[in-house]
Amino acid sequence: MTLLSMALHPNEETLSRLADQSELERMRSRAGRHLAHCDRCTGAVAALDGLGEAARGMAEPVLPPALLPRIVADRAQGTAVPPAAPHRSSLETIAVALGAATARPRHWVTRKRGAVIAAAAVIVLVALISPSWRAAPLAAASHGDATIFPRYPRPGATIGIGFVPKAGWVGGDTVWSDGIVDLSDSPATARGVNQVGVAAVLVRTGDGSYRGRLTLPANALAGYLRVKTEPAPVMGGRPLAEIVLLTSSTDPTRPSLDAMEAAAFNGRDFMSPGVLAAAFTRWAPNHPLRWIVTPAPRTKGMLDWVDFFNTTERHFARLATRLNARPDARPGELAGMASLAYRIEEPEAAAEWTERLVREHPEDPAALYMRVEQLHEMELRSAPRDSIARLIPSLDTLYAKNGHRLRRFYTLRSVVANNGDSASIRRWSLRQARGGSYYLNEFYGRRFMFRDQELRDSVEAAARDILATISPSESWYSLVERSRAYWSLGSVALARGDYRAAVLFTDSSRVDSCIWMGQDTRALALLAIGDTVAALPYLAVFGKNNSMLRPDSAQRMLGSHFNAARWHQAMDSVDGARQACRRRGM
Amino acid sequence: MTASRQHPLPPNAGQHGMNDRASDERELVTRTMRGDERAFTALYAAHAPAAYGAAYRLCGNAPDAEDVTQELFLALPASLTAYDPSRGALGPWLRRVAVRLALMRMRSVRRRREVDAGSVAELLARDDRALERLSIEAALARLSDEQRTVFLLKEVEGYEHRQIASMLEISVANSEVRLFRARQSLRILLGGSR
Repeated sequence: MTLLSMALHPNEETLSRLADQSELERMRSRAGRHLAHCDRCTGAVAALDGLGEAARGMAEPVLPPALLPRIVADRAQGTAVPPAAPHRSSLETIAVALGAATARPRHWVTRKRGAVIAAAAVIVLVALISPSWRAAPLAAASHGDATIFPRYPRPGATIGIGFVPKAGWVGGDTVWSDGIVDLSDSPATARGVNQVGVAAVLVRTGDGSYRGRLTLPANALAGYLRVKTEPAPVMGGRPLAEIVLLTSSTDPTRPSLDAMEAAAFNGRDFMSPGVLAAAFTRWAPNHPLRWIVTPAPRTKGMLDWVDFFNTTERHFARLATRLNARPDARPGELAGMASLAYRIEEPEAAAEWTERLVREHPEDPAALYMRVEQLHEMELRSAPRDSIARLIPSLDTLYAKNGHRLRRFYTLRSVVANNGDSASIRRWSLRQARGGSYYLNEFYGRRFMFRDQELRDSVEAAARDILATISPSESWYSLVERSRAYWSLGSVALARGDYRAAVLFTDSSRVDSCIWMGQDTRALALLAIGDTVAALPYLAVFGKNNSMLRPDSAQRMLGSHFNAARWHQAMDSVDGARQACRRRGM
Repeated sequence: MTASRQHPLPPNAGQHGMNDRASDERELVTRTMRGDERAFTALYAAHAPAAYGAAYRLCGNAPDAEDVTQELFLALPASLTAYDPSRGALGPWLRRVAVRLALMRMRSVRRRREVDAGSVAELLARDDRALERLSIEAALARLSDEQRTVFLLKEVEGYEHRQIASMLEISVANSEVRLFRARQSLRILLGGSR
């Protein structure tokens, strides 16, 4: 033990690592040996150990007794995964993976280079016969096949939607289709809308298939459609089939790159993995987003080495060389490279591609979005707060350059709230409010923010605009948008002290028994009126979410009217309704 | 100083010996795979509470934990074909599957949150009220998903950083940093001295 190691205390991060080590491992390190002579650091490590002990000592949550009957009922109805299902359920995949060897290190390829090169011929053979080379279907269906025609329609076109049920499926004369269509970004309107809900009715024809029609918006790019048994404005019911929608531009035989990029960025193949990857493989094989949407290859155990030429790291390196030589890279390609860099845990490379995107295409909304992602990544890696705060003004610059177009406000708002000054937070809150997407639960900060009259007025104006422009009968997406608007109006009324108006607005924000936004607002308005009994069920909605409404907070709000038995009964009742909704697939 | 670290259910627990209980369990597994409802119920009674507990802590709420447990046991007869008794007892294996399912669920929930501005995470970020002295459960609920997940996987489920990194698709260093941040936050939330 040197004098130096005695004098300098390890930093907290080192102490945290020491807390994870065994006695023997500790004694092998300089910091560990320091512990033996330093009461202060020994105490710090013991405190860290104590956190783990406390966590391990937590009471086990009580298994709900109703769960077993539900599982048994579902098994009896045959909703369990059939043993001979052609596709593995997520659980089976996990179970098999757990039975296999432990995960490989990320840079394993460099150590296995020799063996892999020797097997290159085999790899080519395996790659050629691999199913991933075959084109994937446009729709992934469980109860039948859904198609759209033309396959890659022009924006604004009327498309046909077809559904051919599998043999044995029994349905009525009508099924419905609804979904979301992504729109090309347009200069700022009252609301920064870049997606819209669509819906169609499909009627059974003589051959047993179902057909319907739908006219796409004039600026449609991509999206998804579901075929389902419930009418379109009802958000629920298990989908019978899903279709990824990709529009074309000049060539009707292929999707446009804009459409493929929009679909990739908006995760439109979430329910049909592989569909978008197949489109990229065929139409834009050198686009970085191809490797963002391509599902990770399954672990093959001993045959893992066949993926030597197929690692994301290798694709990234190859594409970087290619795009570095091209001065005309598309914004989507540069954003794709940054996303790919995050995928392989290379934040510095991601920052470099983001810088290039910001430099070459500051007018593209992707520049603002990727800059926000860069700041969020810095947060995740615990970068000094002032280094993040220094970059906040660049968000304003990009917002101005892209014509005040906003996408995905969630991360932006969180980054600004965590790192910006109060003026920045207010400025971005106002922008969000004007864009019609200012939502916060009443139990968290909205009441505080709503002391700001300009913010309240902006939220109200945007909500009224939504109600004036979106028809209630279009699709579930439209209904949800309208529900949120009524919730906002209720919240503004609550902030202004007009409690009865707040209750009335939240009457209108109820979509159905499963979707009712603004129950937090309703609960507080009813409490303010003095109707504690009526408020109880709406408070109970949040009762099982300790992070939103702690039991002691509910008790405080209900005051002398709080009755533990009634409170638990109300929460159980809410839970029962929630389970029923889940069984309906909502 | 703590000489060795004890976990109630380390991931590799149960690799020793085949006692009577283990052979009983093996029979239950075989019968469950054949569709015996009684055997299934017995396995559920024995292992569902631990699986539910692990899922509950990771997901942070009862509905998601119930869904995870339901998914785990609905597909149990089919998925048991992947279970190898020689590699360990059924309980820890099921708990590991539950952990993986919970992580998958958290990922999908996180993905949905990207388009849902009214999400819990955002609300959490805005909680600027004075923090009182909290219980460990309440303090854990206030951590970010990233920090809470790593903390629970390491301290309660007993995984190594290498395994956590693999499960969460992050680097080992990142797992260590998240654990450090989680501990730091917990100490503040629990009112510990710094």
